[in-house]
Amino acid sequence: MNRDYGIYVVVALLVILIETFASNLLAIGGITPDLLLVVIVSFALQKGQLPGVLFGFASGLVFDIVSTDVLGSNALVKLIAGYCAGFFHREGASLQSSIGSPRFIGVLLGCALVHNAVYSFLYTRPAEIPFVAFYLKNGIAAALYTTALALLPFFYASRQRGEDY
Amino acid sequence: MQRFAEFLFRYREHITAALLAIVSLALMSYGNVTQLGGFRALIIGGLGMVQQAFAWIPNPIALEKENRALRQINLDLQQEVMLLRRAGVENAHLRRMLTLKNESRVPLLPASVVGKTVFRTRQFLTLDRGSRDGVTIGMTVMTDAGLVGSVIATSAHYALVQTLFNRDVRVSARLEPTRQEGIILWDGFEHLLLQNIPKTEQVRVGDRVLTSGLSTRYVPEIPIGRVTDVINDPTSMFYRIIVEPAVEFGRLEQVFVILSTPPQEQLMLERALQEFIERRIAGR
Repeated sequence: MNRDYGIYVVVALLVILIETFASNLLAIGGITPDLLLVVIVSFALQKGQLPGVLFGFASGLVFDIVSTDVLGSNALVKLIAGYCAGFFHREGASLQSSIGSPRFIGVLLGCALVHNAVYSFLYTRPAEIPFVAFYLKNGIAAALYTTALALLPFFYASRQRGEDY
Repeated sequence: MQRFAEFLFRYREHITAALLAIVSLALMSYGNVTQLGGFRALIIGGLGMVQQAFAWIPNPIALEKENRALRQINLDLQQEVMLLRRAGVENAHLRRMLTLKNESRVPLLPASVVGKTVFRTRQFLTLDRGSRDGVTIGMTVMTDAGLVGSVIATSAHYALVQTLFNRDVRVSARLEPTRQEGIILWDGFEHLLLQNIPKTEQVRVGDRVLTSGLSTRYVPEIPIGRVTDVINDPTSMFYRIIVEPAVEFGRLEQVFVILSTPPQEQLMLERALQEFIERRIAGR
């Protein structure tokens, strides 16, 4: 049980490093995927809402510090993502059953859309940037890109479970 | 008391989420956390080293485009040099007549872009020059084409530059033909917006936009871009002016850091004025 938490923390730190050092390699047309969100949603689905909220907040805060983003902005949106994903938690779910189910993709897309909506709102609020246009271009595209990348762990986990999609 | 404890336990997820959301909002409103400066410098140093390790990988498409663009810039510059020579002679003559103080040339430090970082929708460049080369926070970064942005963080050997394509950037600018002052900011997409230009001014598509001398943040007279559209919003007294940046941010490889920071005396005076206004507002 504790080993699971340790693995998630290590994976989250690795993902933060990847997003910090190699985000431009993953960018398509200026849109970058949010790999940390994938980790948070997986964690919340497997561990529950409260751990999801705490994990989302902590990892978002670390990301804020590393990425020079406004301190607290990613902490807020990531905890919201963990909170939303936690509603779909099933008691006793394993990592394979959490990630290897089509539900994971649906929950991730929903959480990514909410996450990006809140982030876009926070981002455009102090500036003269139209929120709706900004969200349609960046928020939705980034959510779809993140979900598309999450298909890789989904297919891997579903094969582990012995299910083919 | 027991009921309260039961209530807390029952709704612990929601209460924790609400409390952490309040903490996040408090952190956001707190703004710049300077205590993190040293840690961020460490991150920038690491970021620069990793990005420089991969900077040798050539991009033939980008190189070809850059060559084409450089040839065009060279042609434009030759024409401008001819005009400037004439203007220089005239200017020197007029300065002598008016006994104006000669403006010194600003020292430029060439730097290579070793990394481009995109955090969500914020773009940063990592330069292979840092505090050991004399680069400090707030210095202006430009290319031969125009303004790139300003240095927001440094480590010993690297510097992080915030480009114009960033929500937090505001540049005091002026239209070259009329010298009318405005504010440049990012439109959230591929262009810049020039604000605060009243409708009484004549603005034409193609007009050049330069940094103005009113800001202490950017060196004046650096090209920012050209006007591509002038929108007449009937609900506003000001034009909505779309500006195409002079710099092609997607192909940046070499830049110059202007090794000049605003005069401390001027900054102190402006800060004192700001504090005085804030005190007056607070005392009202």
